Amino acid sequence: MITLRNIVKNYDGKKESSRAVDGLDLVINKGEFVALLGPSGCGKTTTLMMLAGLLKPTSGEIYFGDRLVNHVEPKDRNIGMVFQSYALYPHLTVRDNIAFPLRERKMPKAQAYERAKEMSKIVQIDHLLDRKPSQLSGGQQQRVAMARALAKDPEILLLDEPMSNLDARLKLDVRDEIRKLQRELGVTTIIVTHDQEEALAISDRVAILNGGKIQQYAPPEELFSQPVNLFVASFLGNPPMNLIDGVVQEDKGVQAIVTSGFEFRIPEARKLEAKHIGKPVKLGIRPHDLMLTDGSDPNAIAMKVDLVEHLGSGKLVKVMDAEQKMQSTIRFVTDNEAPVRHGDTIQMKIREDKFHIFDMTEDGHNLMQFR
Amino acid sequence: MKTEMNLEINLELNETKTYKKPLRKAIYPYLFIAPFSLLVLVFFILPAIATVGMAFTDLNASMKPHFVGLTNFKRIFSDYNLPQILGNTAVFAVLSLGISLLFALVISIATQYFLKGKMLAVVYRILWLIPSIIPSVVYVTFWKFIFDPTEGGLINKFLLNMGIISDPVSWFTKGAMAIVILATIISTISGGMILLSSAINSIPEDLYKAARVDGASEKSVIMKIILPTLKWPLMYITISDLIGFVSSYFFIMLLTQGGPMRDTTTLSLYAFQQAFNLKYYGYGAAVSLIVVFISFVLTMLLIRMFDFNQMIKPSRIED
Repeated sequence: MITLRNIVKNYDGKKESSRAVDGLDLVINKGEFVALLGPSGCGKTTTLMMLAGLLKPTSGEIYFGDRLVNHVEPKDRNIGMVFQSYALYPHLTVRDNIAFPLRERKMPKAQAYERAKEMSKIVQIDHLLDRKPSQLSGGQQQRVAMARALAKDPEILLLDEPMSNLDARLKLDVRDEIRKLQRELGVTTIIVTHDQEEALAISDRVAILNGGKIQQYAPPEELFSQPVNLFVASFLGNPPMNLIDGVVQEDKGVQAIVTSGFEFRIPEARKLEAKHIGKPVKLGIRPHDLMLTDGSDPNAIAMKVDLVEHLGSGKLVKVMDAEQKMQSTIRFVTDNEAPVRHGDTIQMKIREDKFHIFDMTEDGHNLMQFR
Repeated sequence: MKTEMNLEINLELNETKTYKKPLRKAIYPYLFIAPFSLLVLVFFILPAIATVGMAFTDLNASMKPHFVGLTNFKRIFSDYNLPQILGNTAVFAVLSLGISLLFALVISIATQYFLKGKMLAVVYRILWLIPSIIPSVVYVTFWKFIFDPTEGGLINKFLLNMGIISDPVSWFTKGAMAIVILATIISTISGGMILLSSAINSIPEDLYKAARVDGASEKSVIMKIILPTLKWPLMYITISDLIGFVSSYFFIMLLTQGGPMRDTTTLSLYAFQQAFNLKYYGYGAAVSLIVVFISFVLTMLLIRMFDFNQMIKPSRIED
């Protein structure tokens, strides 16, 4: 188990302006696969570097199990690490690269090479052992880096954007392989990435970071269906969540969010607390949670189609309210068969169990209580 | 409309005739090169040809050359000074090269790896640059002052004051070669240091991080990451410095004039003295050709030793 307790990291000593990580708490269970996800500059790589021991936290504690490791050197932490650039030693062969950490532990050469061969078989590069890194393709280099990280049988595997230099198709394969390998070896793994699809696909839990703080730490499906705040909601999902300004109003016991374009009735089961009535809020709906309906539906909202984009698997439709009073356009996704053309007026509705309401505080807390 | 028609005509022309560059455009590159090629011709190529020609004549102070065939070269190999001069050249070149390479390497690794990014490292390297930016004559005067054989010399004064010696020592008679080598290497180190430092600086930071995670010792980092990266810069420095040392005579001439006796006379200084002090131009030219030949052979040997072919070979295999 890894525990990070109130970690703060300032790159320039005590200067607040150089703060990269700002009071971070995180618990990672043994054998778990955790992703640190966030936009650039959110402190995710800094956090990983502190886990590796390449950076020391300004304050706070890092525990591996119940051992405090703040001042333990990287080599004594029993970690394997894959760098974004792979950081293969350019003048050593693949075999020597994989055996390097073992040789540095004074393992006899024959034994280290035996282990290197074993590892190379696992990542399917055993036919490349005599090559230099410059004679390998990007995907092969990535595998060598994995093999080197795993050769010393680490307790913790740290991956720093390991797939950002691979092309889209290869990424899918490598992603699956990493996940499979991790399951087989049962090694606690922490991956840093800015690619949300990768993070959601590969990990047991995802920590979303912004401004050096964890915004939400939860399994992927929970992050998606129950974002705690506006940042998580808008960061996750592609195409992004629609966010519409409105005001909460109550009329004869029925709550509704009134926007400049339409009025949305909040279903009985998801009613807000009374203190929010009359307050401005943001209504958040994912593009997948809007659907076409016909005029007879009491919840139907009439919208004018502004733009239709083909995504291949479906259509992305941009709509505006008929009178164009709203500031923002709304995006939603339909299947290819839906008869939607530019200029049409359509009827759509919001899935009643799939919307979010955020308050107007700085963090934009999600007001829907998840029970 | 008119331009459109012109375009069409041009297109047709292009299809039938192969395109010919207008003369003005074709002449531009040569126009830019011309002044410099003239300089190269006058100051490099013609003197080289003249030297080769002279080496086969008995040109001397009378300035009336006669073709003498290989006589000059025969004379070189029967010259009783030759063994000592060749020995001096070898000692001077090898020691200067070895020591200055070692220093350049140690300084670059120290300042770019162990003290990377520290102000101290920058200041230290700038200090080493000073000897190479001082004009040679001033620089040599400084060394002459340090090793001055009278009581006024820096070292003599110091040792006398400390009471270690009672009479001033004539340093230039005792260790002329050592002084020459010392002065030469201290002004050469900075060149190699700059090249090696920038090569070390180009090593990605991630490699050091990976090495730390892998538990690499400093020895492994230096032997397996830094030194292999320095192979080509080291080759370049070795070749250019070696050629420089084999063919240089400037410092030696200013410091010792090749003396005492011929103790510090190298082959190139000997060529200079024969040609310009004794006015045996033909003989001097022949000796300098020998210098060129030695430099050439050494360069070829070093290129083979460093496996230069491997560097120019494309390395990446796509699959």
